[in-house]
This record gives sequence, C-alpha cells and structure tokens, in this order.
Amino acid sequence: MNKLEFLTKMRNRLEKFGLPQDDINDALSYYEEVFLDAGFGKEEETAAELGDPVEIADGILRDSGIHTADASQFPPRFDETQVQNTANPNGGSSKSTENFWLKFILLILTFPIWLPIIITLFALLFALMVTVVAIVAALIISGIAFIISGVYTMIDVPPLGILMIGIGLMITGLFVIIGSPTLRKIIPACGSLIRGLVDWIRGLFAKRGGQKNV
Amino acid sequence: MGFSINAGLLDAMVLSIVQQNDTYGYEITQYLRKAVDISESTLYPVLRRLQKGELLETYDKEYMGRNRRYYRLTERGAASLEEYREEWRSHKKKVDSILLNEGVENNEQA
Repeated sequence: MNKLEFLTKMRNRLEKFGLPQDDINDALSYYEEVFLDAGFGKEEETAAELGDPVEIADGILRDSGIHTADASQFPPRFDETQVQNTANPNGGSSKSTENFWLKFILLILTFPIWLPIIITLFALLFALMVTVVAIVAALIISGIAFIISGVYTMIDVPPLGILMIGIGLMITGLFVIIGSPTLRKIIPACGSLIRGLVDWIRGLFAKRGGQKNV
Repeated sequence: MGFSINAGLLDAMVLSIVQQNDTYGYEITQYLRKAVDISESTLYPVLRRLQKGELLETYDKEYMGRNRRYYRLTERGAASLEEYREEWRSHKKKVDSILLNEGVENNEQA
C-alpha cells in the first residue's frame, strides 16, 4: 500500500463514521507526517509498519466515543492497560454487549420453540420426582395396610390373616431396603438435575455476555 | 520479561520529552523507542489526549516546503509532569525496596 492509498482509506473510514472534519484533518496530517518523516521511497514499508488504516481509523473513532459496528479489532497495542485507559468508556466490551442484546432479541422471538421444550423438560423432571415419591409412599402405605387388615382378618380367618400380615411385612421390608434410601437420594438428585438445567441455560447467556477484551 | 507500560506513564514520558525541547511526532516516537517498543499509531491517541487535556499545545513550523506540527508543553502540562514525576519516584522506591532489596530492611514494610 502506498501513502495515498493508506491515507485515503483512513479518511474514508473516518468520514464514514462522522468524525468532525477538524479531527479528521488533524489525524490525517499526523499520519502524513509519519510517511514524510520516514523518508523518500519508504512508503510501502511505512504503510506496512503502521498496519491497517481502517483499524487505525476505528481506534481514533473509538477514542472519540464513536462506535464502529463492523467488528474491527483494536490496532495492535503493546499494553493491555493502555487499552483500558484510552478514552473509550466501554473498553473492550461494547462488541459483546451488542452480541448480548442481539441474542436476547433472538431468544424472545423464538420462544414458541424453546419454551415448550423447557416446560416439558421441567415437567418430566417433576413427574419423575412425583413417581418416585408415589411408589415409595405406596410401598409403605400398602405395607402398613396389609399388616393392619391382616390383624383384623386374623380374628375371622386366621390363616388368611397371617398371610396378609406376612405380605405386609414383606412390603414394608421392601420399603425399608429400597424405598427409604432411594427417596433420600433421588429427591436431591432431581434437585441438582433441575439446578443443572438452570445453570446450563444461564451459561448460554453468561458466556456470550461475558466476552470481554481484557 | 517484558515490562508493560501503562497509559499514565506513557503520557508522562511524552510530556518529559516535550519539556526538553519543542518537538514533533517522529522525534517523540524515536525517543520513546529507547525505552518502549511503540508505534506511531500508539502515540497518536496519547498526543491527542494530552492536547485535549491542555497539557500540550501545537504549532506548525515550516520544514522543507511543508508544515511540520510541533508540540510544546503548557503550564498545566508542566505542573502535571511534576506530579507524574513525584508519583513515579514514590512508586519506583516502593518497587525497588522489594525487587532490589534497596533502601529498606528485607521484609520490612516500606
């Protein structure tokens, strides 16, 4: 790239984003001087050293508080701290804030798709919990029921009564062996499944919203 | 190790260079390159900032048929520079006391 090309590209970029004419002329005379001071016949070299005129222009625009939406990076800087200090209140995050809002709007627009899915997932988890609780409850309730009615039946039909008590004891035994620990483990497990789901959803947002140029 | 320079320090160094002699962009870059690896693109925002903050002012001087922009320190700039220098001396002392074990007993708070 020669000097004219470089400066023209820079001017076009600055004008495109509406930097005041005075500031544009200021910047351009500075960079023209860079070329002139580099010496005769060194235009290509100088342009190469300086880098991309569009990026440089974007840096200047950024310092003036003008945001250029065409995601161009900072001109290469040697110090991260300087990046933060150079007059742009948004630092490096203006691009990711934009990203975040874009995704947020997309999310709202597509809710007929994801909302039923999410509801279903939560409903399934809930149903699972309810089922487990129900089974365990059934075990203990029927166990006790069998024992009690068994006792009553003993009065009329002793063998039947004994059988019923036996069944009741077996069921209660089943409850103790299987049901109780299962209840104790599955319910927290469901809890963390739900939490995991929520975190995953939150992660979709946090990761994108959190892209910051440090 | 690559000691990075922060914006405040860079500002101060530019002010100091200009204080020695009114000078222009290319010369400032050359001087700075003795200490830091920077490019003209990095320097430009610094000069702009110092100008906007009225620590520097510019004037044009003719050179070989063209206008060259010279920078000169304002009074505010001179005052700012002294402040920076004080801060730097203090900061340097603290770092040296730890890094070079200078001036203070080892492990004593500075």
